[in-house]
Amino acid sequence: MARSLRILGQSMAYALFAALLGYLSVAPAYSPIAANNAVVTLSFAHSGKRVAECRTRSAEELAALPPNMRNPLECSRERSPVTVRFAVDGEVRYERVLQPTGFSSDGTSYVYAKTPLPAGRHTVSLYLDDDSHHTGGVYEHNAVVELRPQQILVIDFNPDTGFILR
Amino acid sequence: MLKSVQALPRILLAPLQRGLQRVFGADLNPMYHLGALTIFFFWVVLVSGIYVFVFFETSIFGAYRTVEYLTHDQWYLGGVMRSLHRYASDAAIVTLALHMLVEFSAGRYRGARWFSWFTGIPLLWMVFPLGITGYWLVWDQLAQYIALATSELLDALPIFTDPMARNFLTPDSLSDRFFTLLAFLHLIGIPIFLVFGIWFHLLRLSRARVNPPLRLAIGSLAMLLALSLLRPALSHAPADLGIAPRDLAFDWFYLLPYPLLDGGSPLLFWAVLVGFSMLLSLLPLLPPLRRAPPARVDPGNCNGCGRCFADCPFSAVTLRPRSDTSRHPTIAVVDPELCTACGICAGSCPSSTPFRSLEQLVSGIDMPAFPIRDIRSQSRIALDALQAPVKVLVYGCDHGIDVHAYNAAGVAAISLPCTGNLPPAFIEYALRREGADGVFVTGCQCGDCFFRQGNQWTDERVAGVREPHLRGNVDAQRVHIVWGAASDGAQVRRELDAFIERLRRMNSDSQATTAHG
Repeated sequence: MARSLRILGQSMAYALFAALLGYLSVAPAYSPIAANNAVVTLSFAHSGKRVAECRTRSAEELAALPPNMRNPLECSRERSPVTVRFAVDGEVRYERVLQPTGFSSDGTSYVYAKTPLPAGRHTVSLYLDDDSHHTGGVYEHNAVVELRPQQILVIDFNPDTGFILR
Repeated sequence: MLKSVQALPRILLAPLQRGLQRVFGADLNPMYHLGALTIFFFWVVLVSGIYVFVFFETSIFGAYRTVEYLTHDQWYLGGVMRSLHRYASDAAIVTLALHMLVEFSAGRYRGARWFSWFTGIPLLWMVFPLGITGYWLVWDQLAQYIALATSELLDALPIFTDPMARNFLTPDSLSDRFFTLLAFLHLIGIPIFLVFGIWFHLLRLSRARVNPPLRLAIGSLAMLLALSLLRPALSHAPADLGIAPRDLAFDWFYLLPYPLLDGGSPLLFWAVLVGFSMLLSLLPLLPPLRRAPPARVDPGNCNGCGRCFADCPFSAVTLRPRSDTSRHPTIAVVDPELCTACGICAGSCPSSTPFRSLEQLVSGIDMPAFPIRDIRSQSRIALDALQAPVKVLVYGCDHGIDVHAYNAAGVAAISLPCTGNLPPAFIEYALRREGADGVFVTGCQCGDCFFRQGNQWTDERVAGVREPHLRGNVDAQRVHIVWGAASDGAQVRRELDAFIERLRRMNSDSQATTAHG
């Protein structure tokens, strides 16, 4: 093959490779959510109540312990699982019993879940129970939200204030 | 079954290989330098990345701002460097994928070569996180999507108790330290492992080609530069954790799995990823398990000259001090785990000469499956059987063109494990002792030898620049070497026909001269 033809062929090969790189590095565009959708993310960290009530140690029991370990209260470490339910417009989107983390089941329970929703008005219902003895400790929240397209609504939880939508 | 799977990429890539061969020639064909090109692109990534990092600020707001500064205010250098960084990374994925496909389809991953194949798989596990963390560092909307999707992917594994994705819920849940960690991973952590990984990958190869030919490197760099200037890499809008990104200009070379992840389960994704990696790792163990016996040294004939040591492409031969009574201080020793049974060592051995008048020809180092004495006897028998006025002996290799298809009244073909297995003395022997009019040598395409260097050594031995060399008293007109891929059979046949015609004319001229004399 003539030198000029070879140079032309090589230039074309480089150009084709460049075109492949230039195109596939940005196109076709990708949309993780549909055009008119918003995303609701339910995520928080919360420790359930202790499974057993703390017990007050007697004076004899305290005396039997080394001086640096004489804590008047004896508490079990294990915590209750946390039951969470999340519904939108009456339809349950997420419902789990979250086990406490850690080998002794004494850690925090975590939730992270997201669901796409069409933009517009929705009724959000939330429920949380963090006491395995069901002696109170139930949190419930209902709210009407107006979602914009592409909006990310985060639902958090704080035991002092309950569910927080932001 | 496996053969059919191997044949598919070979068939698909053949037109590309042939097309590039026509315009680049055998020396510069990028398909024969894919591994070296991948490493070259990583050099470009490294140099451009160091430049970008000089200006990069590892903080939530600083990351985006500094990349934008480089892209727009310093477009002539910083922007070009950023674009080079991206496009060279993408190019590396293309050459890496092709490199794997080519080696797989050619069967260069089995036997003693399992090590290079096996150590190449972890490189894939490093390259993709390297690219993904790079996109993450820009902290634009694409980075936001990648950050969340990657976190969700990692959260599916029982590693973190607190889901990593919670770091990207709201702007106040994100900290600058996270960018410091990412920058460390992208700039130091993963690249160090990658360099070690490449070193392991090449450990069992002698004279590993880590650099492409200069002209190919210059051409590739020029192509990347032109692309960087014509289509500079740009950022999306800055990340906003309150808005779900859409219409992302996606780098499909690195981010292809993400859309699949959006439509399926992260655990399924991990299962597929681990399963695919295991399948790739186990490929060298899948049947058919054929492994020719390794080269064997005959102490009585080995004089420790070291030619086999110098020529072995897989570092399977070493020289050790002798413990017997021989006057030679060293002896060749073959590591059977490293030996690919190519026979290049036998071709390099000075004792592999057919002129030796031994009843049982034994070479200093030889292949038990096809020893030198068998090559000699087959050459004799084949030439004796030829009836045509012009007799040509063809030596080919088992991995190139099927030379047996050339057998004819005047042509006898012998296929060797590798043409590097052919001691040059056999060419002289066929021409001077056995009555051949010409010797035609063919094998794998130049630069694409199945055993890496067999055709190169043959060229150099016949040209007289490598030992053992073809002696000068051989008429060079009667020796013809043509390299070609297995699919180049027709083209090589034309070369063979032209060679036979030339020999015929030479014979006629010679007879005429004799008659006149």
